[in-house]
Amino acid sequence: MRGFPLLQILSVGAGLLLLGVPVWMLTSHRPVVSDAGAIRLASPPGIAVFSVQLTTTSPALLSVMAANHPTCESVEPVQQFEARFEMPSTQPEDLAIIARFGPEAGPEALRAEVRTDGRLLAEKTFWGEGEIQDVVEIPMP
Amino acid sequence: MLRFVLIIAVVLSSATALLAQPLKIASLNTVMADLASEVGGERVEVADIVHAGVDPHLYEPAPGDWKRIETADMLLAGGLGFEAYLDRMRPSLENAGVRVVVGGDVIRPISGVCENHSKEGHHHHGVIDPHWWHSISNTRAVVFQIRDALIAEDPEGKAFYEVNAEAFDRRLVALDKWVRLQVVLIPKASRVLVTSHDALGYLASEYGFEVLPVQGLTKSSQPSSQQIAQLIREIKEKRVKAIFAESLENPKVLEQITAETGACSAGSLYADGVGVGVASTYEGMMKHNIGTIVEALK
Repeated sequence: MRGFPLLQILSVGAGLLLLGVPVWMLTSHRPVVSDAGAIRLASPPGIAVFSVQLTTTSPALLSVMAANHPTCESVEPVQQFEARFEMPSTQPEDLAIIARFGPEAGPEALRAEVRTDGRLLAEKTFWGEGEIQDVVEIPMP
Repeated sequence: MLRFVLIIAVVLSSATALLAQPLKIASLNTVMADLASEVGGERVEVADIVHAGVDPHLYEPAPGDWKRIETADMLLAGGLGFEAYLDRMRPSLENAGVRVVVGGDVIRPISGVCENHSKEGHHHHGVIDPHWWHSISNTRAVVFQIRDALIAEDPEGKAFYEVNAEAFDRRLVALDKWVRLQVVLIPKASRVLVTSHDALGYLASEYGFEVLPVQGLTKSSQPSSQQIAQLIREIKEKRVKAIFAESLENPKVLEQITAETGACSAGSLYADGVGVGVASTYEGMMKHNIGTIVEALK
């Protein structure tokens, strides 16, 4: 082997080929399937993703509700919470937002910002004590 | 300190009320009667001339009712044409010293569907809708109207009426928020109310519903078969899920529409005033109506 460089090159090439085949088999088809899925999920006709960002002055259990969607809620008291809803872009549903503060909390604030494609559509701040509940209306994008 | 003085004033006026005769109030409207009871408390005695279970669109005062009205200090009415006989009786009552308080005088009226539909079955708007209490903001205005009337009639109870009206107003603000939070659960495309008659225009305007009534504002005429056919077409087009009867209605026409459209019958609403049981107060009536609507359309 030592005296035949051509044989050395062939051996290294065969090794690389043996290592590369499984890697190629695992990865070669995935991007195509993933792209198709992503395109379908990202842009169904007439549907937009609305992102709701809730921020509070102290930790609270936060939840957001919209018609035809399951309730999104934080599992523990937090100061920031984000929920995403896919809704008709021409008639987005209004959102009910709730913040439940702990017994030690005083007067608190809850801020809601609604965005689609990074654009701010609605922003509202509510004040209250113990529990803040209110409605955020989303204008058409 | 101010709170202490206020409490003393309320306690004193409550004690005075126990000694004095309560103001006699007669009411032609069950909602107005409930609001007056909330604001007037023990300083007033409210008599329902038209009580829950009586159809106010069909009611005419009997001689016995006249006597009770004429001997009252104050008469409450919804107004805006809800009591068609009110204009006839008002001058003689005012001459007799009865203060007439009409809720419709302090609200911003909207128009509803008139009785005579066109040949094509389309609804015409332009007639004033007298069912103002289905808007909580209207009711809040009427609460303060009643407070002012009670103070004018019984100035000694001023602090008492003011405290009661403020407390009731806070409850109405909370009720309004509760309604808005409930209505969010109904998809916007499903916010269509098919009802016996056109009594929920204020609720529709305030909370984003469309109303498709079988009859107009006063129930004075029955819909033609052509009008019913048009309504059935609209219900199918809009894919309406549920149809609401009213507590004082003959449900036959609605049953026919329900059968032909496949929409479900979603229970009764109190449209012309407060109801019975848990719906026997204004707050109870609103909660019953909104709960029934949300349950059926969400």
